[in-house]
Amino acid sequence: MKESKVLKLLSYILIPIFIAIFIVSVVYTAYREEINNTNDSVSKENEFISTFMYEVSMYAKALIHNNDNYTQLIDNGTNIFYYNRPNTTGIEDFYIYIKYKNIALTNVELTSDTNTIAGIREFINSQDTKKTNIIKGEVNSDTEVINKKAVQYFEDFNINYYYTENSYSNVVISEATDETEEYVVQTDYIETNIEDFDIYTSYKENIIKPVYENEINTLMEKIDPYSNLLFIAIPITAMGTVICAIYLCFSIGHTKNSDKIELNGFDKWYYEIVLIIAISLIVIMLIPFEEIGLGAYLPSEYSFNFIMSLIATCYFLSYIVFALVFNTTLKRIKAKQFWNTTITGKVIMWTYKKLVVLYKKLKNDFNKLKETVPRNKKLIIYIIAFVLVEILLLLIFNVFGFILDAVLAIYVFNKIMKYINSYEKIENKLKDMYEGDNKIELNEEDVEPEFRNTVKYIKDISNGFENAIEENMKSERLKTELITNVSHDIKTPLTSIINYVDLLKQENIENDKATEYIEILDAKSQRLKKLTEDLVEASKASSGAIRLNIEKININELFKQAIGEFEDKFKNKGLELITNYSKNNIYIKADSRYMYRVIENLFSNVSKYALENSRVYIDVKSENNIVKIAIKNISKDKLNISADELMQRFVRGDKSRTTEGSGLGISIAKSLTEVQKGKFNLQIDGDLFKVEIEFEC
Amino acid sequence: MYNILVCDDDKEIVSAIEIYLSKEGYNVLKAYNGEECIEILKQNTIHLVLLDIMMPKKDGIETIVEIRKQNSIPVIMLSAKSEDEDKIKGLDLGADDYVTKPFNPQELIARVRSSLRRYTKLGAIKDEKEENVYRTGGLEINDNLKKVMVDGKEVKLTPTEYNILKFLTKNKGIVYSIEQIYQSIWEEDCYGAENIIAVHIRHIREKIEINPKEPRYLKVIWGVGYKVEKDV
Repeated sequence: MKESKVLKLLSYILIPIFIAIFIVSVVYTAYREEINNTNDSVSKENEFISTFMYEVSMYAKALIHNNDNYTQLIDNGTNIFYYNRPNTTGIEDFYIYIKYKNIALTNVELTSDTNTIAGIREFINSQDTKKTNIIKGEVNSDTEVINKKAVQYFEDFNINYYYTENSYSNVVISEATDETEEYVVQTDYIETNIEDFDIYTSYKENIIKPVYENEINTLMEKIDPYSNLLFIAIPITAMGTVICAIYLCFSIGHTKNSDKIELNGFDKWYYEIVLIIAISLIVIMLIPFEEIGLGAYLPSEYSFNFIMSLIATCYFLSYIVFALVFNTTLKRIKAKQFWNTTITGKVIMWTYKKLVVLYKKLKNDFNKLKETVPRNKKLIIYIIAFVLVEILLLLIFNVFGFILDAVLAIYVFNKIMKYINSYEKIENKLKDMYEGDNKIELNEEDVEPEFRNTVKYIKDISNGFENAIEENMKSERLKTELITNVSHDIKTPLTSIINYVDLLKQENIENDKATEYIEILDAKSQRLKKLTEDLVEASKASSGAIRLNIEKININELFKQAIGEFEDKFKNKGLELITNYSKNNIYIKADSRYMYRVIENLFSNVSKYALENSRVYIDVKSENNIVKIAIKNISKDKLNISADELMQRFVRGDKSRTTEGSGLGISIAKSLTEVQKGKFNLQIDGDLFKVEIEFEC
Repeated sequence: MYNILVCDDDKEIVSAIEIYLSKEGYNVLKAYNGEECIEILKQNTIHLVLLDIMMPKKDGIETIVEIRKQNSIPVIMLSAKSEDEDKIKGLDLGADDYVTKPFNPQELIARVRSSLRRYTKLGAIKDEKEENVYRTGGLEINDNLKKVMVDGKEVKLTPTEYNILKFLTKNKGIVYSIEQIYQSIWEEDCYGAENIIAVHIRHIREKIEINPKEPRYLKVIWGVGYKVEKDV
C-alpha cells in the first residue's frame, strides 16, 4: 500500500482537481452570498425612487412658489402653468402634470393639443413609458418600488408659505415660521401636504439591474446552472483532498524493497533555497489571479477564455511546485534529516556547538578560578554577595522581598548546616582512623562538594595504611612459611645426625677423646633440634599464624600444674619458690596450651638463669578485672643488656651464647601472650629479673 | 619374629632405623617410596609399617589411604611436619601413631613395641571384663593385684601414684582439678600441698608414657586439671 506508485500518482493528480473544484465552489458560493447580501438592485431602486420623488416634489414647490413667471392658461377655472424644469436627475422622458386646488403645473410643451387639462393628461397617458399617478395620497404606479416606498417621501410635499391675495406673485420667506421675516406683509398663510395634490407622470424607468463586471462574474454566470451540484461538490472535494493528502503523508518516501527513506539530490538542497525558489515561482504564477480584473480592458469573449486558460495553467504549475516542496519536506522529516538540510538548522547547530564549547571553557575557567581563590576570600565574596542580594531583593520587591530574603536566609542556613555536618563526618572518620580502626566508610558523595577533596585524601591515606598493614602481614606470613619450610628441610638430615650419633654412642669405643667428641656432637645436635622447633614456633607466634582455642582457664591451677612440672628442675638448682596466689580461683580467657607454653618458657628461663639457692617469687592477683602475674628471680649472671633487647629474638642474657637455649624463649612467651590479647612486660633492676603479664578477666 | 616395613625416601634414616629395630630382634623390610611400600605389603606378611609422609612418587598420606583399604596393621607415621594439623590429619586417616622428626631412637622403638603389643596381644582380649580391672588402650590397672601394665609391660608405681592413676583411670574421660584429686585420695582439703599432686602426676607420666611431654594416657589440661584418656 505504502509503496504503490499508481496510488501516489493518482493522489497527486486528484488533489489539484479536487482543490480547484473546491475553490471554485467556495468562491461561487461566497460571491453568491455577497451579491444577495449587498442588494445591489435594491440600492439602485432606492436611488431611482429618491430621484423620482425629488423631481416630483420640486415641481410641487415650483407650482406653489414661482408660478407667476410661467406661461399661463386658464382652462375651466384652473390656471395651468407651463414650465420645463431643467432636467438634472437623469430620468429620461419625464413628463408631469401636477394640480393644487385651482392651479396646475406641467412640463409638457404648450401646443394646440395640450392647451387643456385633458389634452395634457392625454399627452402624458399616450407616452410609451411607465406611468405613476398620485391622487390625493393614493399611489398608482407601474414601477413596483414606487408603489411600495413612495409614502416615505411624502413629507417632501409638506410645504409652508405666505401668499398674497391680489397677485399670484408672492414672496417665499421661508418654509418655516421664521420670526425675523416679520417685516413682510402677510396676507395669507398656506400649508400643503400630499393629499392636496393630483399628480400624473410618465417616464422611462431606468433602474439599472446588477451586472457582473469581470471574469469571475462571467464564470459565475457560466456556473450558475450547476449551482446545486456545487453544494455537494464542496464536502466531497474537501474529503477527497484530505484523504489523498493523508495517504501521501503516509506513503511519501517509501519505495519498494527498502525500509529506509531514500533522499535524492534535490532532497539535500538547502531547504530555505527550495522554499525561496518555490515561493518566487508561485508568486509569479499568482499574477494572473491578481490581474483577473484586466479582462475589462480586453475584448470580453476572447479575454475570458484566455484568462481562464492562463489561470488554469498557472494553477497547475503552482501545484506542481507545491507538491515538490511538500514531497521533499515530508521525506526530509521522515528521514530525520530536516534540520540538517536547512540553513537555519545548520546555523543553529553550529551556534549551539560553539556555545557548548564556550560554556565548557567558561565553566572550566570559572572552576579553575574557584579553585585558585583561597577559601577565606571566597567566604568574604559569598557573604558580600549574600548581603547584596538580600538588600536588592528588599529594594526591588518591597514587602515580598522580605519573604524572598527569609527563603534565601533559610537556604544559606541549611547550606551551612550541611557543611557542619560534612565536617563532623570527616572528623568522625579521622577519629576512627586515629583509634586504629577502619570501620567508618566515608565516600565523596557523603559530603558537600567543598569537602570532596578532603575526603578523597583521607580515603587515600586510610587505604594506604590498610595496604601497608596488609603488606606487612603478608610478608610476615611469607616469612613464617619460609621458616617452616626451611626447618622441615633441616629436620631430615638432622634426624640422621641424631640417629647416627646415638648409634656411635652405643659402639664400644676405647678412645676417650672420641667418646668426648661424640658427647659434644650429641649435645649440639639436640640443641639444633630444639632450635629448629623453637624457630618455627617463634615465627608463627609473632606472625599470628596460629589457631587459638580460647577457653576459660584457671590461672591458679595452671601455675600449680606448671610448678609440678618444674619441681625437679627448681629443686636441683636449690631454688625456693614463694608463691602468692589469691584465695579465690582466678579465671582468664586464653588458649590453655599456649598459656602453658608461656609459663613453661618463663620457668625454663628461671631454671636456667636464676642464681642458685635463691628465691623465686610468683604472684598471681586480680585487680579491677585485670589479672596480674609476676615472676621475679635473681639472675645468676650480670645482666648487661636492656629489657627491650632481651625480648627480641635470639638474644640471651649472656651475650656469648655459650649456655643452652635458643634465645627464643622470652620472645615466644611475649608473642604468645600478645596473641592472646595479654600484655607482656619485662623489667631488669640490677640483678632482679621480673616478668609481668596482664590479662583482662 | 615380626616383619616391620620401613618406608622413607632418606636411605640413611631407613638404615639407622633398621639397625635399631634389628637389635630389638625385628625383621626389617625397606621401601623408599609409597609405591614400593604398597608392592612389598602385597608380597609379604608385614606386622607394622613405619611411613614417612614427604616422599616422591606416592606420599605417605596417599599410601596410608591405600593401605587402610585392605589392611589393619599398625602404621606409625614419620614426619618432619610437627604442626598439630598434620598430626591430626595423619591420625584421622588411620595412622596408629605419629612421630615427628628428628625423633629419639628409643622413643621410636618404644612406640613400635607398644603398637605391636596392642595389635598382637591386647587386641585379642579387648572385650574382656574383669572385676577391679581398669583399662584404657594399652594401659591396664589390676586393682586385685595392685599391678599397672602398659602395653603388657608392668610399671612400678608408688602407692600414691597408684591411687591417683587408679582414680583417674576408673573415671576415665573426666577432667579433675588438683583439688578434686587431692580430696578424693586423701579425703581432706589440701592447703599448701597443691604442688604434690602435680609432681606425682608428672612422675606417673614419666613412668607410663613413652614421651611424657606428649602423653597418650594421662593428659594435662592446662589451667583446668588432669584426665585419663578414654579412647586411645
